[in-house]
Order: sequence, then C-alpha cells, then structure tokens
Amino acid sequence: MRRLTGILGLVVAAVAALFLFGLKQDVRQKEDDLRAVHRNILEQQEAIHVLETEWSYLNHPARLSDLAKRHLGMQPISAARIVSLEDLPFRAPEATQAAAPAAAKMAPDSTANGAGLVPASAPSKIGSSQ
Amino acid sequence: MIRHPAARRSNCYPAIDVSPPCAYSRGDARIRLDGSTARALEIGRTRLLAAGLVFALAFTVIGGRLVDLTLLSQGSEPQIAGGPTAPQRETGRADIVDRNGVLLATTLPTASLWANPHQVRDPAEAASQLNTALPELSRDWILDKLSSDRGFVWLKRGLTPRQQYAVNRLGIPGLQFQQEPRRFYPQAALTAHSVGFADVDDNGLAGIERSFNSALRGAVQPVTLSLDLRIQHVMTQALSAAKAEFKAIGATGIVMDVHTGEVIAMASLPDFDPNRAGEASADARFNRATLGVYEMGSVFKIFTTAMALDRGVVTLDDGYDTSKPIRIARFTITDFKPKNRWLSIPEIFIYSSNIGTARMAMDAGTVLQKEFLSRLGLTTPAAIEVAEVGQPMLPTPWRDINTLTISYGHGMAVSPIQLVSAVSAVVNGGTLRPATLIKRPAGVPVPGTRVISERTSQQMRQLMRLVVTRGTGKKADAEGYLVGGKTGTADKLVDGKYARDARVSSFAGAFPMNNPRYAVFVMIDEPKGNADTYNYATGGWVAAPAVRQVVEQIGPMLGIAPVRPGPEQDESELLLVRANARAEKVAAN
Repeated sequence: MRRLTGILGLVVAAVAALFLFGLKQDVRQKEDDLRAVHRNILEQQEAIHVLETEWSYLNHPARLSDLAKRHLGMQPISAARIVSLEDLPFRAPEATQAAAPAAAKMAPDSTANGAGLVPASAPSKIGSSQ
Repeated sequence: MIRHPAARRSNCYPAIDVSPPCAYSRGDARIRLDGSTARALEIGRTRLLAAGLVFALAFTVIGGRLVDLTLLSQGSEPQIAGGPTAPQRETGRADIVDRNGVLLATTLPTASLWANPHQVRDPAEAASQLNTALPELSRDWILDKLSSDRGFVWLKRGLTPRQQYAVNRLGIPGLQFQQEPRRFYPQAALTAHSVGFADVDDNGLAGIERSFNSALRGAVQPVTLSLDLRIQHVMTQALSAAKAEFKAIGATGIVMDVHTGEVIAMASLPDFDPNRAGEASADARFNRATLGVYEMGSVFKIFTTAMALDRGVVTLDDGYDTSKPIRIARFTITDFKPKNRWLSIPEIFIYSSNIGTARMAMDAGTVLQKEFLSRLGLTTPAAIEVAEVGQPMLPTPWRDINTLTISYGHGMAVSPIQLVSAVSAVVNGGTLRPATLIKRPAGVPVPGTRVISERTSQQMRQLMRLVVTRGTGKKADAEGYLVGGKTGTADKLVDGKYARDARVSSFAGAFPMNNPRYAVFVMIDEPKGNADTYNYATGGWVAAPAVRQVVEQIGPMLGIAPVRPGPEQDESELLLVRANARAEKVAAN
C-alpha cells in the first residue's frame, strides 16, 4: 500500500512536472509570438506611415487639379450651376399629368422626389483632397 | 574496488552515534534503544511531529487557497492574461495636419547609406552598380569614396524607401544602412510659411514648427492646424496668377473664419520648399502675411468709418465737402479721383475719398482714433501662433496730422493678419477674436471683445457691399456670393519718401455680406499696371479680381449657398439712393 502510494505520488509528480514544463514552453512560445506580432505591428505602422505620407504627397491640390483637368475635363464649379430645390420652376398641373407616365417610365425615382439633384452645399470635386 | 566493511557500517546513521553497531537491515529489523539515547530520540520525534504539523497546516492553507483561486473565485480574475500592450510607433516629433487631417509635416524613418571601403571587394563594379540605383551620384564620385582608405564613408543621407530597396537589391557587400528620422513636408511649398520647417536635429526654425517646438517633440498626437489645404491652394493659385500678371515682387493672401478667428488659408509669395529650406532666399522665407508690416492705404477707411459711425461722430445721413484739398502743415491731402463736391458718408466710403475720411477723423479726434485702433488690435503685434510676427509701426508722437493720414491708411503700418482680424470684427457683428492657426473645437463659442455695436457692423456690411456693387471694388464681385470689401492702394515708403512707382495694392473684404462667414484679404506687392488695366495698378484693378477668383472657387468648398440677385441686395442700394438725394439737396442749396 505504502509502496503504491509512493509510486502513485512519483507518477503524479512526473506528470505534473511534464505538464508544467509543457506549459512553460507554451508560454515562452506565445511570448515569442507576441514579440513577433508586436514587431510586425511596428513594421506595419511604419509602412502605413510612409504610405500616408506618400498619399498626402500625391494628393497635392495642384497635382489633383491638373489631373482632373487633363483626364476628367473637370473645372471649378461656378455659382450659376448651383441651384436649390425652390429655384426649380414648377410644372403646370395639366403638363404634370400628361408627362407623368412617360417620366415614370424613364426614371421613376429621380423625378418623383428629386433625388438626382446636387445639394447646394455639395463640395467641389476639384481640389478636394480627402 | 573493495570496501572495508567498517566503512559501510559507519554510513548507516552518520549523524547519531549508535551502539551497538548498526544492525539495521531491510525487512526484519527493529532498533532497540534505551536510556538517554531513547529519550533523545523521543524529543526528536516530538519535534518532527510539531514541525510536521506546522507544515501540514501551511500546505492545507496553500491547498485551500489554490482551490479558492482555481475553482471558487470566478470573475474576479481577468479571463485573459494582460501582457505588454501593443507598441506605439515613435518618431520623436509629432505630425502637423490641416483641418481635414491632411498631412502637412511628418517625420519619416529614412535610411542613410554608408560603406566600409575595406569590405567592398570590387569598388569599380560596386560603383557602376550603385550608379544605376542612385543616378544622382556619379560613378567616379562613388569610386573615389569606395577606394578610400577609411573604414567609414557616407554615400547618401536620407534615402527614400524606393532608393533603399534598389540599393538593397544590388546586394553589394560592405554597404550599410543607418536609420535616421527626417522631417518631411509632403505639401512642399503650399503651407511653407505657416508650418515652417525644422532642421536635421529636430529644432523647429520657423512657423508652427518653431513656436510649437517643445509641444511637437516627443508627442504622438498630431497638431491640427486651422488651414484648409484646398482653400490654401486656391488662394496660392490666385496670388501667383496676379503676381505674374502684374509683375509684382510679392503677394500675400488670407482667408479667415470671421466667427472664430481661424485662419483657413494664409499664403505668402514668393514661397519656398521647406524640404530644402536651406536653399531658399531670405525673401522667399519672409512671411508677408504675419511678419511684413505695410501701410495699407484706403483699406483703413473701413476702420475710420466704423469708428465715426459707432461713436456717433457722424451718421449715414451726414457728409463732408470734398471739393478742396486739406492743407495742413506741409502736407496736402487730395483725392485720387476727385468728385469735387459734397459727399455723403456712403459716397465718401465707396468712392474712397481721402478728404472726406480725413475730415471724419478730424472730427473724431486723435484720442478716439488711437483708442479705437488699439481696441481693434492694430497697435499691438498679432497673437497668431507662428514665430514670425511683425511689430506694427506707429507714429511717435501721434500728432493730429498723423490722425488725418492714418484715417486713410498712411503713416501707420500693420501686418495683413492684424488687418484681417480687424476686418472680421467689423463685419461679424462687432466682436474681435484673436487670429489663430490652430483648429478650434467645433461648437465651442470663442471668447472675444466687443469693438463696435451690432448696428454699426450691419451698416458697415452694407457700405462694404456698396463698394463692390457701385464703387472701386467692382472687380471683386463673385456672382452669387455677395462679396463686400474695400480696396486699398498705398505708395511704399522708400528711404523715408513715398515712391510713386512702388506701391502695395490690396482688397480686404468678406462674404456673403448678408451674413458674413469668411473674410478674404489679398495684397499684391509692387504691381505694375499693364494694357489690360489701362496701366492702373490700384487695389481695384489688381487685388479685387484675385479676390473674385478666390471667392468663386472656395464658396462651393465652404458650403456657402450662392444667392441669386434679388431683393436682399436692394437694401444697400437704398442707402445709395438716399445718399444721392441728399447730395443733390446740398448741391441745390
């Protein structure tokens, strides 16, 4: 009996030791991984930072407006092109009725609520850098 | 090896002297002891027992605590082990961004290339290869460096990531990189004067970089400026176009939010690339908007008129005879375009009559003028954050003749930023707020000091609008944005005398005049008139068109709805009709 207890104790101790060893190894491995991840985060942050700088450099308004002019044919928006909803002329009632089916066929939602309109405060495309 | 039996025996109980000799052997033995030895052993056993009990107690406590920690205590312990938190990138100097977060200044980790010539096996081959990766270094120069007898030579400092990659790809032994942080300004010249620049040792030498030097050092959070890069660009473009058109030596322009004092754009030409600040001339580095002080000319009539109206010296119904020049001491005050008749206050303002304005100042008096201009912050340096702030030049002593000339902007020099702050105060309802280059938090009211009444501000807005619709500033009228303002042309002082051919032409205004949001100022330094302007180089011909260009472009960006010509403009027209009627009445008498 006593012998059995001794052996059992020895086995338990050995298992515990093995388990502890394994756990310690595991923790050490995880710590290494964590350090690697942190190193990686720093590297990525550096890379993002460099890219952000390049982004800012490439977004220089002079360059953007030049590109917009050359490739998109854009130009600064003039005040005359900005209208508010109230400035739009009303349709005569009978004209509305006559035109309604045709308009509904063509673009049902944009004529119904004016969703296609540019708001008066819409920022200009040119020179906007963000 | 043979062991002596006695040696073995003596090993049985080395600590206790046992007699008779050790008879213990496994299985059968029982040690029989008596006398004093037995008593000693008894004591030993009791002590062991006591010690054992103590240990048992201790282990029970530890065991109980173990059970408590592992099985019973739930929630009180964190489920996830707290490790070191994720690292933060450190550059040693915080970034500077514009109000929309666009990067204006940052610190980049750059690699600097050096070589140990002793380790370079084939300098000629290495030099040719390096020359392909870094074309700006000549092959001979590299070869010379790599063939030297030293153990360390710099080849190139501050490589871009691409250059570093290219050099790395060559795989030449003996080349090394050293990481060096370097300040970089992605927007280059665009914000050069506001942001300033720092040297290689992270010392800010100009602009915000200098004034915020200690705050930037070691900080992580970026400094957010009030500038809007898009508007800065529009202003710079308009200024450089005007500068080129009129062959001027310089130009400066400011856009300010009249309700917060935030500087939305501030440009000074000629400008420079802060990435190569060392190569810039002193003139290019000179910030005309904050450091330069100028006699502003007729733009000052805004303040004289506001003072006279606000302090009850005159009302809009009054007027002065401007048919005769004012002669005082050895000076003669004349009008640029004389009307030679009685002019009402609105007419004096919109036709920019020096005589009428001087008479207004004469009635107000020196003490009042001095006090009023001080209240507007025109006699003390601007409180803006950049390191370069000009000291206004005031007459000492401030005689009555100075009062007359200052009333139309001569004899006192202020910086453009001071002027814009004062104009903002006149149009925004009468509250002066300090100019700032740092973005203010939205929705927090900015404290200010009242300089004129709400009513005077309203009258000044109408007068300034009239200058643009009817007076000298017609070319500033950006359609739909109700620009109002005042033109100014001042001869420059050269060696103590006013030069006829060197002047500063300016336009100070705000828009939209029915509810001003932004003040705009443009000043062209020494413009020359051309055929298009009939050789005029006055503020109305030179600076006003630039203001129109700026307002037309930035209006949509700032989200200001354009106004169609309508009844709201008629109010200021009415002012003029009344003024004309009075003038006719005076003429008839």
